[in-house]
Order: sequence, then C-alpha cells, then structure tokens
Amino acid sequence: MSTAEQKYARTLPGITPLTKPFWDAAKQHTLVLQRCRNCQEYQWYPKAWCSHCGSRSLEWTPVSGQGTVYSFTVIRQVIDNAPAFQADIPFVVALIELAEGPRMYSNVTGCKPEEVVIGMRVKVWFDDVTSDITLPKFSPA
Amino acid sequence: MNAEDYIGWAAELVLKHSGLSKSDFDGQGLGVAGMAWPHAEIWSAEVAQNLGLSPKLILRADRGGMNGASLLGQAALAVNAGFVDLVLCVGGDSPMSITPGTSIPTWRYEEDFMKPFGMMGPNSIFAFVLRRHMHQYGTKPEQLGKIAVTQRQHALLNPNAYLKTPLTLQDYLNSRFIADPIRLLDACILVNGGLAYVVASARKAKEITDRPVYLLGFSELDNYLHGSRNRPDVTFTGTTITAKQAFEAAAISHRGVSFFQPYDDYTIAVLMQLEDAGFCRKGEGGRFVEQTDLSVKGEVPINTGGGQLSAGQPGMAGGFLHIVESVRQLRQEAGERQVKDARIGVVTATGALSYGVNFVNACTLVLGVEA
Repeated sequence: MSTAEQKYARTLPGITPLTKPFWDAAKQHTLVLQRCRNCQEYQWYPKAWCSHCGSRSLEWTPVSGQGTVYSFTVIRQVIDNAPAFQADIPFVVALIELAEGPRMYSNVTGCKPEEVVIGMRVKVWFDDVTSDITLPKFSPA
Repeated sequence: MNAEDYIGWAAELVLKHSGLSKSDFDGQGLGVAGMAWPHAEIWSAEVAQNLGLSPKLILRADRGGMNGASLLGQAALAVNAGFVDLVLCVGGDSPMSITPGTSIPTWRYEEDFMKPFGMMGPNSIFAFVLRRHMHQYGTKPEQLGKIAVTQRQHALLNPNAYLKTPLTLQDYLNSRFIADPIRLLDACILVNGGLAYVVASARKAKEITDRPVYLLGFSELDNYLHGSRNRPDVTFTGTTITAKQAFEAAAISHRGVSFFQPYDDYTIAVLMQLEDAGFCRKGEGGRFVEQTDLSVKGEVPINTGGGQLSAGQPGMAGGFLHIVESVRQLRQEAGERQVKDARIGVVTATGALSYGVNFVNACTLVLGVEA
C-alpha cells in the first residue's frame, strides 16, 4: 500500500452492481451518466429505471465533464463525517449543473473558496484517492 | 432516557390529558413514527408490545419530519372510513444518545454520493438552498435572524422548550458558519423527546372533551420538483402545492389564519414556507418577515412554542411539535404564549432533504375549533 493510501481516511463510497459502471469509468478518468435509450434523457444519481419515462433501458454514457456551479457551500465544520475532512477545512462542495442536464454534488478545487460563484464554469478532473476509488471533482474551466 | 422511554412517557401524558385509559385503545388504532435511534424492522409491532396494546390497525410513518403529520392524515382516513373510532399516535427519538456510527442513515445515496465529497448532513444540504434563495431573491441574514429571535422569544414563554437563553439579532449574526451560508443559529437544536396525540371521530371526540380540535384540511406530496426533473428551482418546496390544497379543502383564507406553525429545521425553511404557503409572494419572504409582526401578539404568529429552532427537535418526532402546539393553542391551553382568539391554525411538515433539491416531502394541515 502506498503512503498516500495509508493516509486516505475520508469517507469512501460503497459500490453496488448498479453503480459499479460509474466508478469503473471514473477510474478510467471518464465521467458517465445513465442515459435512457427510450427517451434520451440523462439522470443522476444512479437509479434502477429511468426516472423520466420508466424504461429500464438505461446505458452508461460518457458526458463532456463541463458544467456550471448551480449552488455551493463552504464547509467550515465537520459533522457526522470522517474527522479526516478537518484537514481540508474550509473547502467547497458544489452542486454542479452538468451540460447534459442533471446536477451532481462534488468539490470545486483549484481556486480559493471565496472565488467560487454561482454560474461559474467548471470542468471535471479525476482524483485517484485510493488504488480502488477515483472521485470526479471539478475545477474552474 | 432513550426513545423508548420518551414514547412511554408521552403516551402516559396523553392519557392523563384526555382522561382516556390504555384499555380504550385496544381494538383501535395505533400510529407509530420512525426514529434515527437504531431500531428493528418491525418497530411498530415492538411499540405495541412495549405499550401493552392490541390495536386493530397500525399506522406507520417513515417520513422524517413529516412523521407526525403523516400519522394524523392516515388516522383521519381510518376514522372517517369508520374502521376505528380512536387512534393513539406516538413519536419519540433520542438523537443525542446514539452511539456515533450506529444511527440509521437517511438515504442510501448519501453514503455513496455525498459523504465522500465532504457533505456534512442537513446543514450542508440546506446551505445550497439558502445560497440560491439569497442569489435569486436577495434574502438577507437579518431577515433569517428575525425568525430565530422571534421563535426564541416564544420558547421563553413555553415551559417545555429546551432553550431558555434570550437571543438578540446580534447574537444571531455573530454565530459561526457551519456550512456557509448556514450559521449555527439557523439550525434547530437536537434534543431527546417524545410527543403523542389522540385522534377520534367527531362523535367520540365530544365524549372526551368539550374542546375538540378538528382536522379541516390535509394535503401531502412527495418528491416535488419545481419546473423540471433534472433542473428544479430548489427554492420552492412541496408546500407550494399542499398548502393550496389544504386551504381549499378547509375553505379558509390567509386572513382567517390565527397562527402558522411551519416545519423549522432551519430559518430558511420557515421563510420559504411563508412564501410557499401563500402568506406572501415567492421571493418576498425576506421583506414579509421584516415588515410583519411574527410574535404571538402579531399578525402572523409563527411557531408559537419556539418551534424546533428553540423548543427543540426530538429527531424524527420533531414534526409532532407543531401539531401538539397547535392543539394547545386551539384549546386555549398555551398559557403566556396564547394567541388571542385562536380559531384556525396551519401546520406544515416536511421531511429530509433530498439529493440536489430540498425537502423530499411536504404536508399541510389545517386545524380549527369548529368542524
């Protein structure tokens, strides 16, 4: 185990059969969303059928990684989450409006928290936090 | 004391208050709410055993903040159908006594798609909504602060309220940010506690009391997405729909409302619901709060017992607070915080903040002193 992995003590996502394709793609540095073959809509978070039309004909589809900040918060206190996040405070969690439609929570990095504004354009990057898990995050485009 | 103790305590209190006995509820209805306190799958049956009751019908709510209101709506349906005459509804929770790491998660998706990015529970989820409300409408911290200050004043008049320290606007503005722009004093205070109420048919109610409180309107809605499924306007809650329906069912106008008890896990929840329930136009909640006396002596008394912000939020039983306070007000039992000539009250209940939006559900109740 590398030194970096030994030190990663933040919450890690669980992986289920439904969500595995998302995490596999992230590990390959690709952002994917479920897209419905029936109605062409995208959805996020992963669901077992299309929340737009009810079809189960969903396909994990690569998306552009482009988005804008719909809203955000600057976390200033750790509550009900791993104490390791204390080292990151203050940090930004944003609700990113992806170009393809849905909104996704993630971090905005690469700028100071006070520089984040609603409407700013961001692009995905991939944080290989452990050898198993890569988290898609965003930075100013 | 934990949730089970509080449930037993609340059940005892409501029997004393109503003059009913435990045996009156055998072969009747029992309503049980969910909890954050770890519990087994068939929790409702466990409560029946713990209370020594043999109900003909069990009603169950797993709706978060909407638990209390959901049980009331379900009880009304059962009573109106003539299936039972009486329903005992109990709620209790002990969020302050949960061993860290053992509480029931609110959502499956929170573990996988929120916590890994450092989301810190409801404070952080509501921060997104508050920031949008400020961005779209210019809502100011002083306006939110007035809500916190007013409800604290009400708590000081309520013997059962948890917080007893007077609060000024400056105290509010000085309180630290948790998930910016949510401040510590924007958030309710978690407590351990229990509440209960009894629902009866109109006929049965008159045998119990000469001051029954009638359910005049009830409306609920889950998963309200304002505008679009993928890109809803998160500043609108489901109260937008449920208040309109409940007001219509009760045939009341806003002018006839004696008090408003909106679900108040956060000050912005109160402000948004003043808008969504139609007391003012969308986006004008801030100005409405500034210009309106929200105290028990004012035009629109809000959360007259202090609400969850100051009386306390007993976990998943928090939504019972607004119902019980309304009943006390309408029965003229609210002591120093009594709203004069209280005749019609409106309660909202909302539960749990969904992914990327706001409250996953909403319920509006209209209660009154006449059928």
